[in-house]
Amino acid sequence: MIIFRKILFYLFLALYLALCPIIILYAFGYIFTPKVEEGFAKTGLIHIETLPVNASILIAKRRYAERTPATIRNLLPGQYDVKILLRDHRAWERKVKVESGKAVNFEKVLLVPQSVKIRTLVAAPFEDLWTVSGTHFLLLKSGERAGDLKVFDWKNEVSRSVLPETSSFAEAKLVRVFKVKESSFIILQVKTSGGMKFLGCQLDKEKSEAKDLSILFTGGEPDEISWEGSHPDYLFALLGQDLSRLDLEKMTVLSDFLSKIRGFGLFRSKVYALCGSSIVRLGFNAKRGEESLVEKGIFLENLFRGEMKYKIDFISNHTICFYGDRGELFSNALPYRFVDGGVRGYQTDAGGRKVVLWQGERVGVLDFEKPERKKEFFERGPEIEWLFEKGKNIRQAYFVYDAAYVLFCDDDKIFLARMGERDIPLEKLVSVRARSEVFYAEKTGRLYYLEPSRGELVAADILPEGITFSGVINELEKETQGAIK
Amino acid sequence: MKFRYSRQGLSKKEIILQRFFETLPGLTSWTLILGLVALSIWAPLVAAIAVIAFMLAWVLRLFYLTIFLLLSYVRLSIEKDTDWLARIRGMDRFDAYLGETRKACREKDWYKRISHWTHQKDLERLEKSGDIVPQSSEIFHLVVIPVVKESPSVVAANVLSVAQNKAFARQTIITLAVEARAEQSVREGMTRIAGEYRDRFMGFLVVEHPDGLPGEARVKGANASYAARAAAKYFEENKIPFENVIVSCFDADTVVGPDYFACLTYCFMNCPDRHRASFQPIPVFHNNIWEVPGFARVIETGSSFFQLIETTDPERLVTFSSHSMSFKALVDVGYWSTDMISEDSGIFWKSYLYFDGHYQVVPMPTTLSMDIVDAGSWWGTVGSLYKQKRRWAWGVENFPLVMRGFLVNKKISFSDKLQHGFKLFEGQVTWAALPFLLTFVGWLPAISAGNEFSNTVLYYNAGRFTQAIFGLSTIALLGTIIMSLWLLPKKKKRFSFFWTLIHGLEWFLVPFILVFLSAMPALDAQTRLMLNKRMEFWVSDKRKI
Repeated sequence: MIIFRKILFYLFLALYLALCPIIILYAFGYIFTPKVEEGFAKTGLIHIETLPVNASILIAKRRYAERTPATIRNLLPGQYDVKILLRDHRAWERKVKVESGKAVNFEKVLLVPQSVKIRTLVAAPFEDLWTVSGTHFLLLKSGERAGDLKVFDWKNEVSRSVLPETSSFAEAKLVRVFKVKESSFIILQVKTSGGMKFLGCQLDKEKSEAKDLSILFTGGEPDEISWEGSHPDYLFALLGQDLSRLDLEKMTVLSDFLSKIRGFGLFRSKVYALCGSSIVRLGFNAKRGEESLVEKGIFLENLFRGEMKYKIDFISNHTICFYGDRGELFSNALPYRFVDGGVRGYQTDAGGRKVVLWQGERVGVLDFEKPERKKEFFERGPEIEWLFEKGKNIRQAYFVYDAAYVLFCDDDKIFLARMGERDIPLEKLVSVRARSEVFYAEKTGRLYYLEPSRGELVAADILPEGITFSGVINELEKETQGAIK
Repeated sequence: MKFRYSRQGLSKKEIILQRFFETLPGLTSWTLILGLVALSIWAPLVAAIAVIAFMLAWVLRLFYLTIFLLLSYVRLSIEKDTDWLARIRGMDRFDAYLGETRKACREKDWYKRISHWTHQKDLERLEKSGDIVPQSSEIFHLVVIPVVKESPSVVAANVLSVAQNKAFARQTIITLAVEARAEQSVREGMTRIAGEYRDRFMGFLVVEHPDGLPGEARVKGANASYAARAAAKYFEENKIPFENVIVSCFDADTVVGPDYFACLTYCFMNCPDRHRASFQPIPVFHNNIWEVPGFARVIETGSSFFQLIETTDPERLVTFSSHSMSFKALVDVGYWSTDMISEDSGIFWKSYLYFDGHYQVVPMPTTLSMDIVDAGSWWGTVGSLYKQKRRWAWGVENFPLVMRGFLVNKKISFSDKLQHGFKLFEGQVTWAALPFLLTFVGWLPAISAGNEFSNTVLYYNAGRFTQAIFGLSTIALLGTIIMSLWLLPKKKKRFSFFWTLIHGLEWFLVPFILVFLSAMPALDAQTRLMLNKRMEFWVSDKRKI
């Protein structure tokens, strides 16, 4: 037994000594191939994950037995044509450079159907569509009258008029809709024979109702109204440079709640305002003059030079965006000043880590959590990665498929661009009604828009049915709600 | 060589050496675990290579050990029905018997043919050695059973099992070593057992060990040694030479089979260097195996398997738990250590150093059964098992003593020192660190990988190898499951197919058990030793229902 044990020990030891370097070399990508002069070559690999899965893979015209998700190993360094094919879907093609010892990773490749599945949701003509960001409501305008405004609940796929049918304001002319993100409360500004009226409407109620808030707006027509939550206690109205607090319970107005401000934003029951070049903070319940200074100094003077106005937007617990009236986009994160003008709008991802922003001709992404680049001479923050710069009239953009893609509306066409890729032909998805807004819901994986010829509200399936991130998003919503509370 | 196998009464230089070797196992285990964690964070590439190399070594080792587990099991099965008594009687008339065994074996059963062949080889080896085999009638057995808080019913079952070895009961002296600090009921129980069973044995001593004797710690070895000294007086009074006595130190819950002492006597007679040897049976934990929670069953079956594997390496085998040895050797080396918790393995190392390396452990092809820790509740059993394993792992206290002994002993060959020292050290470190590395740290390079690493071929291939290696280890685990089902005693009650399946699936608790009831107590023990926080002796909860 002793001898047998020794023999077996040395046998296993020899096996280990032989296998270990082979396995480690193989793990590094080394293979033996007669095609290479030396025999040994260090290879690379391509990893592909698609949605839907089970697509076939062609690399350098060779069809592989593996279907997505798959890792294709032992590829000699060089340029490869990679093609992914799935029945009834558009082919996905890329030219890929494989380097020795490196992995090329194509995660979350979205395969677009040959013809995008479109479904009519409301078979009536509409002129315009307005989104209420962070809610499951869309506003549909079919005429000039306030009574023509409908609300569509895309979660339950039902619609109704915003105002009650019997409302005395139904015939009034709709002038403006005030809405804030993550709130199902909206304010309609309507023009009646008796003058301007302001109506508070709750979109999440089963029956339409409108409360006349006009008594709060006797001081004039506000430039901006903001509030927090779906059932706010206070509204904050900006008129010129003065911010008033409107108490919805007592129906009272506290004028000059903050004076001489250049912009404001709300976060966790506090008003943050830009006064000159200083940031001040004031609780919703506070009295006039109780504001506290958050930050001031030459640094802010340089950042907010000029007299432009800014909207202060807390996109996450840590990140604040300052959106100027000339399309400037600043942030409290390095390098602070991202775009000096021309930004038409921006959207954040579910976690508030990434921002997709657009100007007329280009669309880009700002990733606040992108790891810092090491060994740089200057300390740097995130930079905008422009995905597409040949647009005509880019009007809106959304993150799609867990921020792996950006969907944007250029004039009357919807395109899909993959993050991190430039100079790649875009996937054109559908045509939409010119000048009308579009809305993409990650929860349902659908794009909601007005059909260009008849103006009906339709939904196009961007993500395959059943593959949505509602669970993740619900969690994030809860977290956000929790954080706000 | 006279070497004081103790950490007491050391010179300044010896204290430094002792502390160095006490620190080494714990420090190595922690360095391995934390080092690989650090490496995974700061150099994931290097960590991934280390993980691959380490996992490959582990899986090969697993297969290597599984082979020996199987062989050991086969050896146990071969000797299952051996008539040890007939062999002993045969060896009493050695020359004639040797001639008889040389004749062709007519057994049809292959197991019996192999058993006969190995027996014949043993006899030839004995003949070649020129040793005079003692007559079985001149061999006496001393059974020492240390008791501190064990219930009388547990000890009674032990004594009864010894009494059932009828051929040797009249040559057996039972010594119940009772601690003076034991509760009155325990001490009275032992006296009652002595009264009940005295007539069945040659002698029956109940020795009360006074508490707090100088140079002693509150450990089992002090109690057993005190009782063995009392027994020595008995042998002297009865003019029984120590050379003719085999001493067995049994845990209180030990239950031996009816042919255990026949097998032991055979092994003793068959061993040319019988006074330089300990005799180690396979401890199995079958007494209450179907009454304890599944995880306890798995861990103790694992312990039996470990001992089964160990028996295939007699050159490196160390005594564990209940064991036997020549009483003369025990007296020569100065009995068991009186200040060590792990007196079972300690006695081997003490003897090994005393006899300058000329000491061995002879594996006995038989089992003895003990109780699995059972505290009555699930969590209680978890806690008790943890403490028991920590006590076993406290065997690491032998390492500094052995290493110091090796440094001063010039007669033991360097190769033997190296092999024994490495096995002792590696065994302890592997015990504490390996499960952590396998279960947690192995995955860290992939988890903590930054972009730089996650864009490499290695990142993708490392996961693939880890998967393959875990797949292979599952095959070895399945082999272990099958073997455990063979080894386990028949259930007292019939279980449905569902429960049989569940008992098989209990083995998939192995990752949890390895970490929480094996590695963690071992790391705990090593850390205590490293920090010089000595352990009090702790008696496992064992109940007799």
